[in-house]
Formats: sequence, structure tokens, C-alpha cells
Amino acid sequence: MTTTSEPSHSDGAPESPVPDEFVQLFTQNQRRLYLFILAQVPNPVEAEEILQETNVIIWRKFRQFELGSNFLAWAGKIAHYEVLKHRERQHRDRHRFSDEFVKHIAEEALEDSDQLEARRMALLTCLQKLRSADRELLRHRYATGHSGQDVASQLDRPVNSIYQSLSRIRRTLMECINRQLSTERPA
Amino acid sequence: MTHKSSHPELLTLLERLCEDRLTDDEAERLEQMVLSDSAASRLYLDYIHLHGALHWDTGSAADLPAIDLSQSPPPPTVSRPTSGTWRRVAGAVFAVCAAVVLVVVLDRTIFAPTEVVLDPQESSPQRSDEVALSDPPEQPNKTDRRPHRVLEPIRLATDEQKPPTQPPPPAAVAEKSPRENSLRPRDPSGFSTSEMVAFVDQKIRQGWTAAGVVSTDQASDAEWVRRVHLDLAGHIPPVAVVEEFLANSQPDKRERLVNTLLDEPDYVRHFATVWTNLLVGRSTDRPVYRESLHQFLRRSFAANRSWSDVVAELVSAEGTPEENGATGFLLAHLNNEAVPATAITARLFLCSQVQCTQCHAHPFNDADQNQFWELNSFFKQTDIESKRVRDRRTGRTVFQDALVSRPVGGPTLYENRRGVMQTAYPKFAGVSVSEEAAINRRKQLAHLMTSGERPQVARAMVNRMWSHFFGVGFTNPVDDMGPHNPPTHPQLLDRLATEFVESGYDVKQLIRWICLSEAYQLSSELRSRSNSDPQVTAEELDERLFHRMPVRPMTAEQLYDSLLVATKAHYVGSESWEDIERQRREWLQPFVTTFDTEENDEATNFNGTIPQALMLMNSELVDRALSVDGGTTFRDIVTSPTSDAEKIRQLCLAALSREPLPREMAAARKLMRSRTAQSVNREQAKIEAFQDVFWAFLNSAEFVLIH
Repeated sequence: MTTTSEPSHSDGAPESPVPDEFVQLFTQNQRRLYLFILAQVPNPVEAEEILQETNVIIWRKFRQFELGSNFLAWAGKIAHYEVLKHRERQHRDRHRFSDEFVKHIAEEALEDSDQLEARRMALLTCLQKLRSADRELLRHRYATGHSGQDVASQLDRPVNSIYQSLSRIRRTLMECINRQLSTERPA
Repeated sequence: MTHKSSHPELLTLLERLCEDRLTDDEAERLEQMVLSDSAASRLYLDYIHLHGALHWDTGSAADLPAIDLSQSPPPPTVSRPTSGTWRRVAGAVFAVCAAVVLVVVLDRTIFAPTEVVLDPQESSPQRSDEVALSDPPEQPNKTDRRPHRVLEPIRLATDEQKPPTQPPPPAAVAEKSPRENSLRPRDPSGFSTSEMVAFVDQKIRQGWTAAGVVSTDQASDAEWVRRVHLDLAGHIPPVAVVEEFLANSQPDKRERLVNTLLDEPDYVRHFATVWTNLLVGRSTDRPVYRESLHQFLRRSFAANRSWSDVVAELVSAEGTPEENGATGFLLAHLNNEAVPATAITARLFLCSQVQCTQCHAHPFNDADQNQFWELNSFFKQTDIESKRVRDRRTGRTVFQDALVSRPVGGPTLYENRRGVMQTAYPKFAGVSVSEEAAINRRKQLAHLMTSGERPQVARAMVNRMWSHFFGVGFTNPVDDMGPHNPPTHPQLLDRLATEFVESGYDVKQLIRWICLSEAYQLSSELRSRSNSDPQVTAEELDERLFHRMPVRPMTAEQLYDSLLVATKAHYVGSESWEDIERQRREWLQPFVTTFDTEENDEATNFNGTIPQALMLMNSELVDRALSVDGGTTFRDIVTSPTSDAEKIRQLCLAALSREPLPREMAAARKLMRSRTAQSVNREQAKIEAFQDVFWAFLNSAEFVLIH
């Protein structure tokens, strides 16, 4: 008995010449792009929606991207534009921040993006150091997308104590991440 | 770092921002600070990024991001072809389609409740580079021991660089000696139940320590004897058994009882029923050969056949249900191009959810559409044929369905999302099987599924069994295992699976390891808490730490059978065993809903709630249960020459397998007194009062729950 060659249909389809490298860049930068958008919005769920809209445009325009150039800078422009479009659609009252602020943050965030990977690794380490009760609370808050209010009623705890705990945990994580990075690279 | 905590005000504003509690004034203040000060700007970004990262990497709290697209995929090398394949598939799919798939990925990544892995040391990163259908998570130290056929997916033509030479696929060898690996009974002397139980206990305890919880007390004998009967025999224990067990003072009486129950026909019947329901459902709407399948399973469980054999037989069965009961499984699911057969085979035996990849790449594991159809291709030759057979009872010739394999070869065709016809060749866990017509593909599949040292079939069965006894498995849901859904106790799952394989897939042995474990001995009651700290922590409520026996509703079958045991209602106008089975099925039908879906889904809407239980309890069955005619439990008890208190005690034992509480006893006696005092016919009044007491016990929440 012989092994069948795998059918060749799955690749080389002439009508879809998306380079592997592009797909790789695309997947690698999803998180960065999300954080970039979030800084400008700053609502996690809205940021997701905008990311999805951004992705559609990215795929539509992938031919315009020059392999070898900075993907995040290219995709970031699209994303920023989508943020602005999103703000246009939204009622002015619901704008958290001014146009000026959004523009400023978009520029800062793009410069900042080199740091993200290091901070992500540090975050993973720091999460390990959390007490399990704190990790559990984070899971309740973030994994399910529940608001502090929901978490409070789920755990039958006063909502203020949830807010306090979350603030404390996030501060702890911030400090831990900063410590991690400063020990890695003494400034 | 420039910011430290030098901006306490900004930090407070950011915290409020993240919880969506920022007022407009505060937003303005925040803007001012960020725009005027670069350190504040950094703090803003860092904080928002942390918030976003927590949101995005939901799983990272557990150190195992479900699927993290941002994570750099491993460098594409020839030896790790799958990531390349993924990209290639994504690349081949039209841009918009890929975007749609990603949208689904995002949804899942963000909203999926990722379980916390209890022991950080246990959590091995489970980024598998293989087909999601089959692969057990890789344990680095065991990789070298894994059978070559599972380890190295054979992939051709997807990479520019073809592997230089192709070793003959092991499936070819397998054709001559099917399943030789799976049937390796182990020397019993080298095998210690207590050793394995100790390992289970150790791993479960590690979880408790890591989460900072204390286990509940050991379950009382009364609680435990009821639970173990429901789990193993499918019904509550008869009074005599309860009394004997409570009176028994042997230290190993629990172990003895487990062994006794495993040898009883009710164990066989219960597990055959559980698996019949899993395999073909409860519905009688479609023509389903339930009876013969049930019989096949009864024989299998009675002989304690190796589970890999049972699975292999179910997957590769041929003939009529009369000739081979195992055919009942696939005969029920070959409709719709065997899509249900594909999906259910993966879900039941591999605990792998592939049904959505029928149409598109899996949103949250690495399975793609082609893999679904590669599995489906194993059913390509399978067909249902109408066969003339002689009815054994009537002697007349009748037509019966027969499962046959036709000698057809070639690929299976399917449409991708663009409507373009695609081809899939039989391939399982990376092993391709010849598409030649002469090769029986289901036999090949059965072999591939059940061979190797740690096949997914074993892990899946371990997970299912664990969930049978604890209500939850190591993954939630139990039948969705894979790198995207890491187990709570990976080492325990691995070891149980390995030993299960080593034992020759000994189902009873697996049950012993679980039933004799410390966790299974625990009470379902929350540990009573001191007044100073009345708050229950999330960990203490987490059923997946197994530090407390979760309370589970009975299945409809368990409830029905328990009612029979408690009442012996079927002794009124006694019927044969078949009649009782038939009555049970008839009684269950109103609770079953069949969905007319492509996957032959169904649901029982019996979920053990009290109103449903009441519905059944006010049925004819219960009328008979409370009858003083015939040989009912009720009649036996109320006509016995004992005191009223003893009768109440017996009724409580019959229904709840425990002694009545003092207040229950007091309430029952009060009822007796008031009824008899008001009545002319004292004897009749007394019987009615006993009926009410028994009915109350049977209608309690305690009766319909497993605890």
C-alpha cells in the first residue's frame, strides 16, 4: 500500500496569491494592533470591533503592502483611520476623548509598540506571581468580558470591593512589569 | 522607568476608565494630564495596554493563552510543517474569508472562559503542531516514546521541500494484524490499584494546595453508598443493602462495595444505557437499532472488553444489527454524507469537536476544513444495504438494514467556502491511508484510532469517566479537548490515560482508580465556615478542584430506576424485564427533543428540576408505588409488624438511603397522630399518613439529586 500524495488543491490556487509572509505578519501583529486601537478608544469591546473592521481593510489592501517594510506602521494607519471612522459614526456625546487626544495617543502608541513584546513576557511572569484568588478574579473580569458589576453579583461581593481589588491587582501587575523590565535592562 | 507611582491621581483616573466609571470631567482631567506630560502619556499607554493585554490574553491568567495570534508562531521549518500548512491554508483561502475566520478566532479568544490551570508546575504549554483531532499534548520527556505513526504527520505537497523519502505508512502493516497493540493485557502483578489511587490523590491535593482550598469532610457512609450505587448501578441502593453497609465495620468496605457493584448486572446495564444514549441518543423518531446496540454494549461491559476493542468494533462494524449489534451506531448516523458519523465519532471517542470544521476552519484550534473531510473520507465506502433475513421469531423473510463497505476508492469531494470543489483523502492524525478501493477504510480508521501508546481515545475515555463520577471532567466541556482547552490536571489526565492503555483499556480498573480516590470519598456539603469569615471564595466554589463532591441531577433513567428500587412499583401487575425496559423508554420519551439538524443532535429536556420530578412523581408509576397491593416496598414496610417509628425509618431509608433526622421523625409522627385522631377508620388513616410521608420523601430535592 502506498501513501497518497496530498492533493495539491490546498495551495497554489492562482487567484489567491497572499504571500505566507504577509499572513504571518498579519497574525503576529493582531495583538499589537488591538492594543494600538484600544489606546485610542479605550473600550475593549469597541476596540475589538474596530480591529475587525481594520482586518477587513488590511486583507482588501494587502497588495499595497511592501514586504520588508514596517507592517505595524502600515496597518496602524489603517487602524487609526478606522478609529476615526468609528468616532464619526458614534454620537459626539459618547466621545470619551477629544480628536487631539486620539491623534496624540496614536502617535505615541506607535512609537511605544516596540516595548509591547517585552511587556507581554513580563506580564506572563507577573501573573504567575499573583495569588490564585487574584488570578481567579482577573479571570472572572476579563475572560468572560464581564463588568465589575457582573463579577460582583456573580461572586456575591460588594461591587466596590471588586473595583478595589481589580485596581489593586492591576497596580501590582504594573509595578511588577516595570520591575521586571528594569532588572532586565538596567537603565 | 519614568513613571513609578508618581501620578496617583492619574492612576485613579485610569482605574476608573478601565471600569467604565469615568465622568466627563474626569475624562477631561485625564486628557490634560496626558497631553501635557510625557511621563503621564507613558503611564496612560502602559496602563491601557495592561488592561487590553488582560482582555486579549484571557488565558494568560492561567498561563495558557487559548490561542494567541500575537504569539510568534514557531519558525517555519520543514520538521514542523503544520504552522506552514495553516498559513498556506489561510493563504489559499480568499482574503475576506480569512478575515471572517479570524473574526471568529477573536471572538473565541476574547470571550472564551479559559479555565485556570490549578498547578502552575503542571501546566505544560500545549501548543501542538499537529492535527487537533488526535494529538495528546506533548510532554517533552515522553515525546521520544510516542509511536512514530502519531508523532510525525506525513504531509506531502504542502511544502516546497518534500521529505526526501517516504517510509511506508504503518497503516499498511496494520492491515494484516489489526489492533495488535491495543490488546496487551498487562501482568496483573505489576499493577497496583492503590499505587494509582495514591497518584490520583497526590495530584488532586496539589490542586487544592495551589488554590488554597481545604477539602470537605469525608462523605458519610449513607451519602456515599447512595452515590456509588447511582454512579455504578444507575439507581439508589435498596434498603437492605444500605442497612448492611451502614452496619458493616470493615475498614475496606467501600473498596469491597465498588468491586461488588462492578460485578453486578446493573453496572453492565447502566453503562450500556449511558453509552447507548451517547451513541444513538434516546429518541425513537429515527429508525435506530437501539436494542441490538444496547445488547452489544451489555456484552462488552459484562466481559469488560478492552475499550479500544469496543471503539474499534463500533467504528468498523459490518452487517445487520442482528448479526452485529455494534452496527447500530453507524446505521444511525450515515445520513447526510456521513457528516453526523464523522462528527459524533470524533466527539464521542476522541472528545474532539470537529463539526464546525465541516464548513470552515476551526475557530479555535488548528483543525481546518480539510481535516474534517479527511476524517469523513474514512466513511466514504460505507453504505446501508437492505438485506433479506429470516426473522427468528416468525420465520418469515424480512428486510433489514445492513452496514456494508463498498470497494470504492479515491477522494471525498466537498465544497469549500467559495463553493469550489475540493478533495480530501482518508487521513487520521497525520497518517494517510491508501485511497485504493481494496482497502477497507473504516478498518484502517479503527486501527489508527486505537493504536499507539497514548492515543486520544484513551485520554477521551479517561476524561469522560472522570466526568461520569464527578459531574465535570478535566476539560469543560468534557468532549472538547485540545490545545485550545487545556485540562485542569494535565499530569493526572496523562498518567491515567497512560495507565489505562497499559492496563489493556481495562474499563473496570479505570473506574476503581476513580471511585477509590480520596476525592470520590468526599462529602457534597460545603465545609461549614466560621462566623468570622463567612465569605465563600471563588476557589471553594470551583467544582473542578474536586475538593468537594458536586451535587448532580440524576439522569431521567437514574430517576426512573431509582423510583423502582425505592418503591418496587413494577411489582404491581408485574411484567417481564423487556416490558420494564419498554415502559421506561415510553416514560422517557416526553423528555426527549430531537433536533432536526445535520448532526443528529438531540437534547433531553429532563434536567432533574423539581417540577419535572414532580411531573413524573404524580404519574401512574407513583400511584402504584404507594399502592398497598402486590409486593411494593411500601406495602412491605407498612404491613410489617413493627412500630410506627420503625416504619417511618424504613420509608426514609428506602427513599433517601439514610436515617431520618430527628425533626423529620417528629414531623412524620405528628402527621400520623393528627390523621388518626380525626379519623373513624384508624387503620386506613394510618396507611394514608404513611403514604404521605413516603410521597414527601420521594418528592424531596434530596431524592432527585446525586450527592
